Amino acid sequence: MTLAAIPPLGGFVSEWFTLEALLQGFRMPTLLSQLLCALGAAALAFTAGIGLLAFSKYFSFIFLGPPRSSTRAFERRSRWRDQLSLWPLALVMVCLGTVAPWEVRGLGDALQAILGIDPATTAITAPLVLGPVLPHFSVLAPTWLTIVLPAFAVIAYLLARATGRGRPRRAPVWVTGSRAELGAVQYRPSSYSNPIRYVLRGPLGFRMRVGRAAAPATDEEVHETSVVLAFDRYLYRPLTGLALAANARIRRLQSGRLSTYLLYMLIALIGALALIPILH
Amino acid sequence: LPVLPDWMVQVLQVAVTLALAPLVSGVIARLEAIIQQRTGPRLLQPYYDILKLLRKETVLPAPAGPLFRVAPYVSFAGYASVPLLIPVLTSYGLSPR
Repeated sequence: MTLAAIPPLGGFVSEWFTLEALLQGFRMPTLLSQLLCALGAAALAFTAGIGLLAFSKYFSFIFLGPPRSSTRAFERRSRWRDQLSLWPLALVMVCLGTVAPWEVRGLGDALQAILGIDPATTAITAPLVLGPVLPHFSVLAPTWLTIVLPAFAVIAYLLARATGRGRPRRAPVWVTGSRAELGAVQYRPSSYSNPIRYVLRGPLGFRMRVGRAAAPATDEEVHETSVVLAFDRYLYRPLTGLALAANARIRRLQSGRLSTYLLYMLIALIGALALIPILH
Repeated sequence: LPVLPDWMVQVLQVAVTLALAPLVSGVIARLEAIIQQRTGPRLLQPYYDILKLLRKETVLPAPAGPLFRVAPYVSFAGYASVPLLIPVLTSYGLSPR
């Protein structure tokens, strides 16, 4: 989860620094660089949003959804004991983000001994506020968010309690009318990825087709999706083709005869000797 | 004008956003209605909607875990922290200095 840069986890601090630095793009000398910084900040916020959505979905698929089979149900029962060892690690991840100002201060002290300057003096303003490039730019920081976010959640809970109507009622889930098991029809990874593919269908080249199965006896519908892997199609494949073509040409030189290799070495030696007067 | 400390400006930004966001929504709905020559909802309709929704009974799916119950509050906290970052009452970004 820390990879998704969720506050207050450790991964959020580095993303916060990058975002804050990009938000200070108005200090750049030219309009183009200012615009690029603003675009970079918007792109970072957008990718952070998608990353957050993706990681929280994957986390919920794995840990929170109802088990799809009895084997999985058994694994889930035994998992809580296994997870005990993970809790200290999770605590460290939370702490790394929460105590970031003290970490930066410690790193600054260590760097002062080596470099002679303390970068922490410009990165930390108020005791808990981190800001890159120039101090006094930001009034919010990962540590503050650790305090503020739970406080807001508590306020929302109290507000709901004050105006709500007592205990919530539990009701069975309506599952498609086909009496299917909830675990079998719950959200799957494709349920999440398909909307993202659909939204980004232009750059991804997303195509979807619904048709009949190839076997004539079955009435089963076939749902096919395809995505154009842009890097694969336009970068890796041409590069691989070029490398393989160059490899095929070079391979012709490899006759396997010792005398031919000696000739190559002689040509290389003559070439090297010819280079000496040119270089001097 | 008195210069307020940063933390007070931030608290006010959140409070003003929470208090006036439904009004902005109501004004937009009203303007849309005027442009489309409809009667449209009342200006304060979003406030009435919120009050109605808050008073309604909460129904949870039977297999829903504690995270399902916590999610709305976490979501609210996420939205409420946005006015801490972007200027709402001030014309300067984040910090006056």
